[in-house]
Amino acid sequence: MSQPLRMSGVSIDLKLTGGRVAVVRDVDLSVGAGEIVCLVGESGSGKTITALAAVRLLPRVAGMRSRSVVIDGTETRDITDKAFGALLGDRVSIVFQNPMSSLNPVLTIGEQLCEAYLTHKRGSRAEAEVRAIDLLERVGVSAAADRMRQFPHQLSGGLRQRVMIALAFMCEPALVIGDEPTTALDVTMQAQTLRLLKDLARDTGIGLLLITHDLGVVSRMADRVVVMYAGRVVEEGTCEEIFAHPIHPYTRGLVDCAPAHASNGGFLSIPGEVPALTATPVGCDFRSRCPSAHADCHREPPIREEGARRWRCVMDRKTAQAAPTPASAALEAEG
Amino acid sequence: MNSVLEVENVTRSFAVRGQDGKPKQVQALRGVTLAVGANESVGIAGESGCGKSTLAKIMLGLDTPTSGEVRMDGAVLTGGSTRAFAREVQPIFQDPLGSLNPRRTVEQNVRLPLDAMRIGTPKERAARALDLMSKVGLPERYRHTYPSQLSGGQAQRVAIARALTPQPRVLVCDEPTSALDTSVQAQILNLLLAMRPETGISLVFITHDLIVLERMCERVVVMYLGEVVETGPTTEVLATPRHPYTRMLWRSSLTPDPGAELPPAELGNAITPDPANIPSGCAFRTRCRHATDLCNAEAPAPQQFGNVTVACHYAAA
Repeated sequence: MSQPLRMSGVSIDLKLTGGRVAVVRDVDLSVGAGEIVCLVGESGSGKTITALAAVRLLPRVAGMRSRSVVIDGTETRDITDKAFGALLGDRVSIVFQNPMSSLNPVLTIGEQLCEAYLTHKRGSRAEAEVRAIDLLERVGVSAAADRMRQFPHQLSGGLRQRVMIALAFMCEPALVIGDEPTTALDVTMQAQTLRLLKDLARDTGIGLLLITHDLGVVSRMADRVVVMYAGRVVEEGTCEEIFAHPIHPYTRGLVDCAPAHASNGGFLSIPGEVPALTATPVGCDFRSRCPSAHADCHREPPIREEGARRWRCVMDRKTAQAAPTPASAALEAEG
Repeated sequence: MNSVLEVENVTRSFAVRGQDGKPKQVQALRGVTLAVGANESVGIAGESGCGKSTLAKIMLGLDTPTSGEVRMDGAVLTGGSTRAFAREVQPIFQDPLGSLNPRRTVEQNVRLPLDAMRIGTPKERAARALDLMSKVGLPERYRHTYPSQLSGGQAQRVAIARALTPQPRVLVCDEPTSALDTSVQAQILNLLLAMRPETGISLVFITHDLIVLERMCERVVVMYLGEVVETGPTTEVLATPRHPYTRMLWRSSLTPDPGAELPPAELGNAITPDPANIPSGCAFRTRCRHATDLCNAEAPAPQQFGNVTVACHYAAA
């Protein structure tokens, strides 16, 4: 089975009134078969636009450069939009945060589920319906046969998101991209929806790229975690490594400030805010918030690698992990 | 404990038109009683549609209950007393930019309550605004900045400073950090925690996030479909949640815990019924694994377990 997604050297800029702004810089990202990769970062870190670039859904004002974008074994860098469209619909599905804006309001759930299947000539209408009902039942939609005849507005938000997930798996794609797929849902619905996604990905061997800012979600879902900050990947590693032994100061800060159970005491935070993309500093983007920043950080930090672990910092693993985290440094400063 | 703000047996229903075009009633609140003590932090938790935001609006005097009373220091809130009431109870909303006036500067936004209530001289108002700006971590250089130039975290700081200007006794925060990034969320929550001892202010903290509530609030009120299903000291309620809904919410809260599994799919049905068509008996029974004939027939009366009150027929089990 080929790798569902491998993109390298991806840079994206947006043409705005003030000129061109680099929003994603030299990003490498891959998802293996049956693997769940979480792309983590705060708003403006470029995580969504990176995923959109993989499937050519960038806004008109965006320009993209890349060394390579391989989807399910096919290099797509030089193929036409039309050929790409055929590949995309067949091999990649996307689940967005807001299901209402992704479902067609004038088509029934059944029509939408079958449409994708029929367009990509997977089988007859009868087969499509059988598969649709089967998938709806698997994602926990009760009375699936009746739901097939309903319109999106007749379903609750949680049910619509389940329909979106069924739709994503309809054509047995190689890759499913979820862009904050559960952020708009209530916590109980979120937990169940995540479980469905995880079980479906595991059962089918589909690669899942999950974009989220919620480390609680990441810790329960990810095999591998890719952390982005100000348009760049700053750290990458397995889920266990990222949570137990984060290296990059930003990752260490993020892990610190994700709230865990505690009955009292304040919250740890990373002082300062993400730099505006129009005014990213020279050198390391995180240096204005980093307690270990020094003169060397005014130069581009190197990308360090240890096996599957990568991070972008002047500090090696030992030095970085011995340094104060942004959160602990902030606590000390407060006294 | 002396209560500052009390809500007694408040109901609120809205007339809406259903999918079939027929008018129907949505009962957003169905007899909610709640008291907020001086310098107390009370968390209201529940999912969308549970009535928590309607309750917030009623506590702020922005909406009128269909029946029941809201009291401030024992005085009943009526149409004529909203202005005095507003001075004592101030809001912080979820959308920080949407809750600021985009055509006024940061300083003008912060002093707006003072201007509107004509508190102090213009000079005193400006001084108080600047003082509060520095307390919430906004340097003086932001004075003449407009909200559109602020980040979400900065805008929420402006909203907090503005809420504090008239020296209110209660702050009603409706999901104040849901729109913010994690690292910024922590800054804002710390700010809210830090000003409590200094101002003696009470907090009503509305959230769907029990992990945040656990640290922010001494007392928790869990709401489901317009009713309080469980309430008590946060540590006690969360250590042994007695209501199946509280258990479900608590187990669905995902702490960053690699290796921990997602909650099992059989935890219960996650689909909330239509608030215009609330189930008979116990409203939660359609999602409850333990529901029996008794739950279909009879609404459970609140039962007391020490400091905790639970509305479930099987809370003792």
